Amino acid sequence: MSDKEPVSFNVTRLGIIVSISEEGSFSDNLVALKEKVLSNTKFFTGSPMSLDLGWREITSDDLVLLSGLLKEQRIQLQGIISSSLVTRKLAEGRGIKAIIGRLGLSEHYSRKAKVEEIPEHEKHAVPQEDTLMLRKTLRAGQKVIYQGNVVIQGDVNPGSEIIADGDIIVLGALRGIAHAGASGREDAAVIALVYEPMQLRIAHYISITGSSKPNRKKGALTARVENGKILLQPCGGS
Amino acid sequence: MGKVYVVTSGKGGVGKTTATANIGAGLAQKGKKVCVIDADIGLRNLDLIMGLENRIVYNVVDVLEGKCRNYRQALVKDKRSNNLFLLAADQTREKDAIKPDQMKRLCSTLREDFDYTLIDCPAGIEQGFKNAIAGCDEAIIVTNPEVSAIRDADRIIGLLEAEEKFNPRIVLNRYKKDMVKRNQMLSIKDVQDILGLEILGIVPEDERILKASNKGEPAIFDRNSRAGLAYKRIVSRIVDPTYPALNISEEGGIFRRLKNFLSKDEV
Repeated sequence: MSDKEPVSFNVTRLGIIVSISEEGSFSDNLVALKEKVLSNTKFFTGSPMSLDLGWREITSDDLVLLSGLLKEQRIQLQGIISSSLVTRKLAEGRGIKAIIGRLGLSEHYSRKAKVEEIPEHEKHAVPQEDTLMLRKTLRAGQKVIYQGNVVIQGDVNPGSEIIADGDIIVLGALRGIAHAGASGREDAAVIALVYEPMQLRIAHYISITGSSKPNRKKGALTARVENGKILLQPCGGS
Repeated sequence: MGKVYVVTSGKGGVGKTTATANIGAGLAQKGKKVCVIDADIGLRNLDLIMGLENRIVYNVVDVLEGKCRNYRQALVKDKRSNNLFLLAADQTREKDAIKPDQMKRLCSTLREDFDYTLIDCPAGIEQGFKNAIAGCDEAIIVTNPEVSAIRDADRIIGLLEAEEKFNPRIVLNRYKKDMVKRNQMLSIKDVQDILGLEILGIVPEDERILKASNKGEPAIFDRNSRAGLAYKRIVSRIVDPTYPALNISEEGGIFRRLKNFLSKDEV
């Protein structure tokens, strides 16, 4: 999003997303927005609108101006998409919903985007869109069952269990039982910063790692099914 | 306003009762007014460890069922101290003889009357455990550097964490430095890696504990008991949280090795 029109918009399944350029003064861009709205009133009225501000950091005054404009044009603002924490906090402080979004996200969502424009990495996106992120250490006797991916910011102690349809990522020590791809997905992975599981399962494959200390491999490891069994590899790289 | 502590572990036989008796006695030695309660209904033994088994007339179930006018009737004063009191368990009943609410109310009363109340929790995670923790402010988790003890302690901590109070701290009991050195026993670091809690204290394995139990005289009164000394430290730390936990050196260093050589059994 660099050449820029100060204001551009896309129609998506989320409604209209209006992208405001990160360059130039905000008030100038707002003027451009007003013009766009005025010349397309039929289009804008009644449709839910979200504003994509990209990485722009706005000020309180900017927000006041914006709210004023929206009120004046009777536009229902659903929320703001921004990759700036400052902007998001400011918006939320004024009761405007703000979600984190990367640069040009609205274009990414656009129905009009042609096949070639879909970012390279989309091909590698894991089908399960739903990921549960837990900020806790799982203790003995605790169990997490989730229809998606699971990320744990903490340890998985011996005697605890994670069962997920998708991938399992442990940002800590995995010492309990992890079962990824529980519904049968063999391409699911289990990744842990410290890999010492009691038992590891991917789909219907089971791996019982040696529990004796000397076998402890150093570093973060990824477990995947390859050639009919579970293999461990250091994380990162390909 | 006093504080009510539960001394729990999950696993049986790790030293809860011993810890309760010694910590209670230690706090009383420091001039605090202490009440220790045996919540192990059906398998009582706190009274034995304290040598007070012959002096029990009423017990905690009697108090909660209203057989006493007042809980004070059931209190047994310690032989050695004027400010340490025992509320014994009932050996003839079972864990379901009392309910969490009853314990909660009893603890409210005790909180007013004593500086420290220690509840000796039974092993397990069922009704006995639930009763014991009901009225408590803080938890002391006693465990051994041994895999099943640690597993059970972790379970207990998980249950306590759900309530977000308790400030659970660990007493690592029956620690044997030599075995740790030879990699035959879990180290303090291993324990902390899994349990992830503050260590209140480390109590070394000590034959004198057995002697103390049989005599009915807690080891904290035995000047020659290393475990007793460890409990003294734990008591100091309870009263003053900035007091350092016993720092068992696991590293080398010539002065440390020399020191260890000279005082061979020092922990």
